[in-house]
Amino acid sequence: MKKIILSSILVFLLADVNSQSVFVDFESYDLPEESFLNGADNPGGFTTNLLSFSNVYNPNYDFWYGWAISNVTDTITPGFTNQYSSIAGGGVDGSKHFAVSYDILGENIISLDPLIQGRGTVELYISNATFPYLSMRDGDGFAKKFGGEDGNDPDFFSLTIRKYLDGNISQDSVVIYLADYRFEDNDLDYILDDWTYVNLHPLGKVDSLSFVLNSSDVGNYGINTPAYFCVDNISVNIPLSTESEKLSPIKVYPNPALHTIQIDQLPVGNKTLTLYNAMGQKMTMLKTNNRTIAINLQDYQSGTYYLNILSSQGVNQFTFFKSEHQ
Amino acid sequence: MVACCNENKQILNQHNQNILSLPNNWYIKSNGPGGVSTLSLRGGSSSQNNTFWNDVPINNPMLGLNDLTLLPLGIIESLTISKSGNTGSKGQGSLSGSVSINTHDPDPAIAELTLMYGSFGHKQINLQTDLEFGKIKWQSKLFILDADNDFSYALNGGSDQKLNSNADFNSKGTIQTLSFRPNTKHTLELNYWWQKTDRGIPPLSTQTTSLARQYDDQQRVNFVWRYLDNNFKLYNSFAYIDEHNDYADPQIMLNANNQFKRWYHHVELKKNLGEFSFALQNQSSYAMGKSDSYSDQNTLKSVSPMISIGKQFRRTRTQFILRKEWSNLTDAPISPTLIINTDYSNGLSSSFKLSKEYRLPTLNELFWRPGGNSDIRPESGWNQELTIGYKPSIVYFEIGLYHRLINDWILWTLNDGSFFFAVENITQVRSYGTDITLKAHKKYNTIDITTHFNYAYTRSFSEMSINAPSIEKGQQLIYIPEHTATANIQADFSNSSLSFLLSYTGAVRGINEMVEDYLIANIYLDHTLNFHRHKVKAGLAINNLLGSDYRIVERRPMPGRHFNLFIKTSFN
Repeated sequence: MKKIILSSILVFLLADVNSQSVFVDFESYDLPEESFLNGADNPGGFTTNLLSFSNVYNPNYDFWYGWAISNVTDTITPGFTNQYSSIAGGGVDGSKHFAVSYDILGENIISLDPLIQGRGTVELYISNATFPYLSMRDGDGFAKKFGGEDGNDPDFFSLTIRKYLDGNISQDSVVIYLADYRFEDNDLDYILDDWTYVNLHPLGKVDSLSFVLNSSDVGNYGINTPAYFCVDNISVNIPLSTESEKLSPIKVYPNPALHTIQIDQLPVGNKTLTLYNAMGQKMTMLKTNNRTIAINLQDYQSGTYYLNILSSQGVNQFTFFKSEHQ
Repeated sequence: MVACCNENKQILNQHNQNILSLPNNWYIKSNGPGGVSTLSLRGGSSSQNNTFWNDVPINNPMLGLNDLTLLPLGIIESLTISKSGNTGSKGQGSLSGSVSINTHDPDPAIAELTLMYGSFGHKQINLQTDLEFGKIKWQSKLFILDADNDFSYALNGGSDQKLNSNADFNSKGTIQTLSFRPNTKHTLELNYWWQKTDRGIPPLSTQTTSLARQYDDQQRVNFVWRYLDNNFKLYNSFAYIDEHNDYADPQIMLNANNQFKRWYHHVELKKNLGEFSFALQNQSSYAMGKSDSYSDQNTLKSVSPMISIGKQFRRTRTQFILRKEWSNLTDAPISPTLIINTDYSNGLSSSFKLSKEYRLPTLNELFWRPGGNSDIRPESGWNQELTIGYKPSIVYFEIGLYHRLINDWILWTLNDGSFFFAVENITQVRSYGTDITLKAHKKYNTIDITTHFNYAYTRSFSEMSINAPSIEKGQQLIYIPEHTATANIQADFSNSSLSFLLSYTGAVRGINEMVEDYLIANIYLDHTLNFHRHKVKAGLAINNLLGSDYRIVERRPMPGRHFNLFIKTSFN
């Protein structure tokens, strides 16, 4: 079993202090060099605390679809044996880790934790995976080289992102062309070869995001272009309600903690406190109207813990270490 | 057996070294020179016809089909193509027809050497020797074929050209026949066919490069015992086939190794009693496939007994055949066949066939992981054929009509919620159409003129709509042309022969796009010089004389005008 240390979610106050941001960059996945997690060790997918990436892995056929976490850097090898690398050779800005999406059912989804569902808007980075990039550039035994035989075919490979909110999918969408050969001037044709910032704020607040690939290269068996893309640096921006609530007064102590962790100066009203361990497993969840509360840690092993506090002010996260000794 | 309709025997010579150059309106789905070529007869799929060598089915049981490109036409004497449901007489897999290969030269020289040279680096050597030691005859055939197939082709019909690269085809092999005839009644025959082929897989026209290669290593051994005594015949044949079919693509780091072994026994007894004829036959087969993608279970065993009764009524000959096959995984339906052949006066004849046809699943359809389905049922259905022939004088006219409805059509399909294509009995496919043949032969002084015209109209479609693969109800199945036609004229004179062939294939639906119709013209010329016991024949074939830019399979270009020269020397 590979050792998995889940990514921390960095919750911080932005400079303009109008919102808080949940940021996922997958860098805390301590993967060995040139490796990936495709569900073989972690069936069902990944939860980086507040964002969930589902996948399906079939051990009989070593086959997967959905989301994988990867640090594979091979941008040379074509074909399905190289399905876990981004054409950028890594994550955004040279970071190591990123997520790979392989879609065979027509839609892949990133789900937000109920704690933040419907509370924030999203921005992220998208890249072509190496497999479709090289397939579109050079063609292969199944998929055509984009532009076709003479380079004039108006081919495209696009990613349509919609939001789910309250169980409904939005009509509005953001479309990213991972490759676009529809220009009159063939010199303008392109296949994305680096990470591209995608602003999803126009979609508004989301419960989850839907990702659907489309291609001009379609045959009787569906899309021929390999249905992969990569995602990194996902930010969920959660606006604060009033100016007076911009700064969190919450105190979480002691750190390291021994038997209990004390939380004081909680905001007024209903609060939900959720404690996760470093593996992303939910340890406990409490609901309270009180301004102060203590959580008993005696049954928990020593290590890093994440405490999410959902209140009318939004989401706050605190990281602390549970120690065995004083 | 009663001969039935739509049989066409193609005598091969050095002209028609290209399977596509045969004057017959069969449809061959060729991926280009050296590429895989498969046969479709009367709207059937490539796994719904069988190829036989000495009555031994040589289709690959893993794929269910035979790659015609691997047939060494230089050492094959003839091909007999039967466009007729033949399950009753030939066994499973001959649902839409069959091809019989004859590799034994009945009138051999002591030695024959053929050298060929052609466009795109085509070089070929065929050597045949025949020795006789009393009651023992030994016929030996060897061949070596090498071709680069590096032709240029137009991109999208425009002026830009692209070179067909990584398309080399290298094949060598031998067919050995040892026969022993101790008396007039008994014949023992041992046949051995070994062939090794290494070929590049060129890039598609929409692909920049390809480094893929395919290796085929085939060994076939066949022992036959024939007994003939007045009205009684015994045919007893054992065969063992061992074939490797490996595919490697270093670009995508793929190595796929496949192997099958097949043990086959065919026994047949025939007896004529006055106006009656009786036949008993049994085919036993044990096929075992090996692949990285197979589970442990990988064998298909079957026995298939058949009984046949024929009766002659004045001008009418009838035959009733009943076949039943059992296998370890799936039982085929009882397959009856009724044939009624009638010769009327004035050269008119008719042939009617009503038959239940079936095809057992292939090993891949049964065992491939993922998606193979060992619970799959055989494809089966009723077939009706009517052929009318008319030969008033030098002209022969034949029209064949057929209708076939196959249930439990086997398809790789993507079910709702599934993440891989899986084998299912998913639909019903109806095929119907007509084949028209017109032949004429006339002698003008010393010139023999033979003309041959074929036309086929074929409809073949699913009776229901399917999502994946996308098939609409009533829509013509992919790679089944509605219209095909060939016209051939040949003149033989003074040890020379001149032949001209026009071949038209209508547009077909491909997997991704339509493939346009095309017209191909080929011309052949040869001349023979006789020197006592020594004979020299030289010839030239020009293929695609019109320089047509065409594809048979989408994204797989075919060569423009190209030629082959040959010289054949015989010693008697």
